[in-house]
Amino acid sequence: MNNILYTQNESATKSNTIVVDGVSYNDMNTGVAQEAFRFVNKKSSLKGDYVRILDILKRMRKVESQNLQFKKDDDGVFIKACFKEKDELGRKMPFLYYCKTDNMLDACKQLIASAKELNRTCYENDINALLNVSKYLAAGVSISLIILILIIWKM
Amino acid sequence: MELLVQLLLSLPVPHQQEAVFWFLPVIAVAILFAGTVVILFGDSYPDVKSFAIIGMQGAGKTQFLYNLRNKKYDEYEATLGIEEIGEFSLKLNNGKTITVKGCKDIPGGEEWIPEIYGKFIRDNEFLFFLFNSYKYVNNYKYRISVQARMEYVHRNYLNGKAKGVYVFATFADQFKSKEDRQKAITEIKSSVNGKTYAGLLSNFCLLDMRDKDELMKILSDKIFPNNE
Repeated sequence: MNNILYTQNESATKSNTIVVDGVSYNDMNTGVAQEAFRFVNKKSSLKGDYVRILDILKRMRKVESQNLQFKKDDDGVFIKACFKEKDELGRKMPFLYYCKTDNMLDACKQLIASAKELNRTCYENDINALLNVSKYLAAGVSISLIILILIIWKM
Repeated sequence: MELLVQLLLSLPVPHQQEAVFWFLPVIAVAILFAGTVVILFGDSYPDVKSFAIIGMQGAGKTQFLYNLRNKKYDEYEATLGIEEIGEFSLKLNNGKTITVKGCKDIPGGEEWIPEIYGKFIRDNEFLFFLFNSYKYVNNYKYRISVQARMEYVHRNYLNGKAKGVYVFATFADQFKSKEDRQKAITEIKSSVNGKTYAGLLSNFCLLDMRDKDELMKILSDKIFPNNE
């Protein structure tokens, strides 16, 4: 499994969909679909990377998905967020995505392509945040250091 | 031996006994005072319970949890994956405070049932089952899914530690009049007549999830009354 996209459908009466390496499934209780479902579910239960930075970005409204989370490890890249499209109740439709890669840009490109297959669109702000989260961290640390130096200097 | 007896008699035992007797009324008063405090203010001490909010996809489980936590739900995002809510305090209208421990927001998709629902139902004390009342009345396929889910909840509830299952038929606001609401209640109840899980609907109410006060009234008056 190199690429998994698990998402909700527009209607609550319609089953959710999981796309594993380009093949779409609605029944997740058997075979590859079940394995993929369990895998992304397990990944989503793990503590994500840069959680605090993402929380700050959410509060600052710099990202659209309040559930935005990602994790990069030896298995690859895991992303949890919402699509722009809304369900019949007017709620943003969430997704769990996994890509076997060590490159975030590559993962984001593949996510956008997989979403397009399902006629879904990712939020640009969310993708930008995922690609630049380490820069935000570096900026935050630099600002904190400058403030600290200024405080010490004033003393 | 005589010397030993004399020595024992010379010990200041009477003084110690006097000291103990002097403290006894103080201890008794302290116990009485503590007991009175517990009786008078016992309810204000947090009561710890575990909740499982389960039900159909899009039934309003996340909104329900927001209402319980007295939080505004304005980011309408469906739930996919388990969201850890953790511990929170639930303040009821009757002045009672309940500490809800280890709460989770879980998705309603069918694929989650074999994964987590069984354990979740069995391990929690209070089960809240939600479904969309309007869809139940108007969509046969949805009704069948809800009934299958209720049967599953009932079966696992019997093997678990839950003290009760409370069923909330949400989206009551979609019924235009009071008569329509009453008809819906009758139809929902009669639709499960004779089923093994029919008892679940003995604790059943139609609810407009946007009306937080209505939910708090049900929780305070029916589910967690003062004498509970």
